[in-house]
Amino acid sequence: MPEPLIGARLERFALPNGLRVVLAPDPAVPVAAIAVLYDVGIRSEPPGRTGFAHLFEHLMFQGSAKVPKLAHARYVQSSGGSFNGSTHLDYTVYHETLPGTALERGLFLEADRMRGPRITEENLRNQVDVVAEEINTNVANRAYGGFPWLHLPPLLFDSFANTHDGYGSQVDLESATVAEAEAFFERYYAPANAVLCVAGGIDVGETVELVARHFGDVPARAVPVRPDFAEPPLTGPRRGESRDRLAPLPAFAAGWRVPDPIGELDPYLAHHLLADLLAGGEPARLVRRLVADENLVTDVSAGLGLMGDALAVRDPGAFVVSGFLPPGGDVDKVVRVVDEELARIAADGLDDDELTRLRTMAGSRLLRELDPLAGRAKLLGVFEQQRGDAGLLAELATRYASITADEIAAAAAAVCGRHRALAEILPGRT
Amino acid sequence: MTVELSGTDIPALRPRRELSLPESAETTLPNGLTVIAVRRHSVPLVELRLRIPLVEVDPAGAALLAESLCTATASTSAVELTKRIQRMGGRLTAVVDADRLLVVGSALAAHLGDLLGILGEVLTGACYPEAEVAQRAGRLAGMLRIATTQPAHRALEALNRRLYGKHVYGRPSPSPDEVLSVTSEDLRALHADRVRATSACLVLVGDIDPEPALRAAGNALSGVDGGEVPRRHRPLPGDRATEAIEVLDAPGAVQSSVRLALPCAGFDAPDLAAADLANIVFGGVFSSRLASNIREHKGYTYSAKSTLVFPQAGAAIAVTADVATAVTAPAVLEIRYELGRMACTSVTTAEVDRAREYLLGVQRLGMATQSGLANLVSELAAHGLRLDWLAVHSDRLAEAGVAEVNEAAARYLAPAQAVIVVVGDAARVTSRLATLMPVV
Repeated sequence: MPEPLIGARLERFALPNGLRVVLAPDPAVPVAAIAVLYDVGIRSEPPGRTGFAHLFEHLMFQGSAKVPKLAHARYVQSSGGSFNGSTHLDYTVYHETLPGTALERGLFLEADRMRGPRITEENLRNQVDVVAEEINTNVANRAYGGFPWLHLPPLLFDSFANTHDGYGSQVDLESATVAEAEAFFERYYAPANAVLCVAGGIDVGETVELVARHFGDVPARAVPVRPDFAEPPLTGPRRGESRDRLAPLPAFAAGWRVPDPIGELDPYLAHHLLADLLAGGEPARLVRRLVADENLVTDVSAGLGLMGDALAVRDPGAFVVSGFLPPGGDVDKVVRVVDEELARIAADGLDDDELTRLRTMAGSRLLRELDPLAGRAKLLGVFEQQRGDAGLLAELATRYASITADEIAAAAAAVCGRHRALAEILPGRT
Repeated sequence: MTVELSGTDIPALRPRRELSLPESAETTLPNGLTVIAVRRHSVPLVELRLRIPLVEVDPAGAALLAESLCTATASTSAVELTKRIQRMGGRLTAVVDADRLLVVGSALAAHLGDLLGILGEVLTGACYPEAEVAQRAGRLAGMLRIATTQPAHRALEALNRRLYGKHVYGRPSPSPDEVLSVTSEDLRALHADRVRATSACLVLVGDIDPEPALRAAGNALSGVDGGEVPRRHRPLPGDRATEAIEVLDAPGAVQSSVRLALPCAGFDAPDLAAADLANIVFGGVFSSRLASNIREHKGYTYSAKSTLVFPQAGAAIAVTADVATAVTAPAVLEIRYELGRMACTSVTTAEVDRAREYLLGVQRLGMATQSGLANLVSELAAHGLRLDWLAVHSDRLAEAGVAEVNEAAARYLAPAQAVIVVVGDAARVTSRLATLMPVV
């Protein structure tokens, strides 16, 4: 395995206002990425306000004290940079990738909106419209839109926090008010509830100074205690189906609970390798049986997490196997095969070559994720926020490489022992 | 609508250093394969791109060939081959379009030689066993069934048809049935005929020494047949279906997929830099006129963007916006208005300066990842260019002023030049669209 590429040179500190800072210098590139992560996401939305965390993310681009509406994009892009934001189950992240010439400008922009966005009735209504079209583009007007991340949680979990639609209902979005947005900012966007990460071609000493200059005077305020979103295990299997009038083929997603991604890291990573053992390429167990031998699905995948956040989610997480069936395919048969293969792994384990390949692929996948500076800054920030130490990311390749065949078999046995939630998409009109 | 920045509190940009290009080396093997190796050592990986021209070919055969290329060889089964790639922490797949077959690979850098070895085996020995091909055809047919229901895919196909007519660029994707009827024998024949080294280009980017990487490529790939010089495209048709908006019905759709396309300057055109700048001012970035208008002021859409694309036979500007059904015609009106404003009124100096800063900056961003750099080098090579072209383009971007951008905008962004397609609920959108232009 390659040596950890980051970590030794990480600089971690906190400002007096509580903002945690991670610097990850990489002198090889004349580019820097800035990521600011706030410890609030879809799971923190109150009942009646589905989609609010994401709507609020949009409002953070509508201007702040010294930055008029539309100017954030203009400043970043006229510096030769790119930017975006995204809302996840447990965090909301804002990021810029900039030529090194614009590092201070990027820090200024993030600090200005950390002091407070300019939220007006007009901008709120405008962004409610924009979000409605975002949902139409990604969900309503697309075959398999939102599948399975909108379909599986209501079956796999029970609480409002874990089950509700993170894009939000139209009613909830349209009734959102400026006062609620201001209260949301006040509660969740305190500097001590955030992590700032800067990665790339930076000078550490100078960046420390710039960070202090721009973020140092953001007023400190109290941070809410994060609720525990864990739930008791399912008491029986669950199953639900929905019809998708645009979908040409049946689809399924089976989900199971997993160990706490934070508190039980090794068992959680063993589930990650288990997912690859089932569906990572031609030699994988389910690809062999379901696609090649028995022709029960046209494609199968397996992974951790509901939003592509395998390494960026807190408890409760999910283990998901999903796929598309040929017309008229039999979901029950597919699920039976999945159960059989899990049981086989639990009983017989895996061979040395399988283990070597799983470890190696997990390591190189992690490297690929870390090559883009924005991806690196985000993941370091998530580790700092959720695990209390960005440096743990550097150990991750080693952790994957030390997961044993027994641990993967134990993960398979654990999945077999848990109840399954099964979401199906039925194609065509009713 | 324009917000000018006060600049009082905004930190200034530091002076830009000259563009520094990464260390690279190049060779052409006796069989005609060009190999370019570039060092970028951010992570201990190497990225591989092999581009083989593939012009005027049966689209179903080409699509299934790409899907099946990196599976089995005479000596190794698909499963064994994938196991070997996985032991290097790698992957190897192929994609195809109307210009080329592109093999995309990656591995831990220490395994570069092994990855090239497998590439050589695949190129000289892919054998397309029947069972494999049938399985891949089933998977591809499933993917095509899904793709062809997606409004974005329907819109793109219609746009190509209106822009390119009978040229191969105007062809739709193959149908699932066409793919299912391709045989192993068809693929072996197509491979023998067209998967050749002459005029192909291999790009390696990553934590590698360029010269030894070239030698490794020579060792692994010298045995690939050269073959004849590949076919070239027929020229693009001069006329386009610009007279009417084409509406494709999507009954009950909550949104309309609006697409426009206009022919544009290519890599060889002296006014590409000016066209690039005009496109950025118009719709190439979030802070453009287009997104400011129909997203940030009117809330018609989540997405509004224009992009320069460079297919081999001629470049184009593509404009995309998925808009609420109720505002479909107003959105088309605003897009044409913004095009018209570009074509017949002047841009400002501030707009050109911002666009220039953006384009110069994203050049650096594009080179900052291994996969981004590999894609860039491979695309430039397809047009006969190398990374040093970026320096030439930078100079042209620096020189282009308001007059040049206005001229390029008049030439390439005139709404009268645009083909327009809308995929939406025809019953709800057609009559209002017809108030703007004829609808077919």
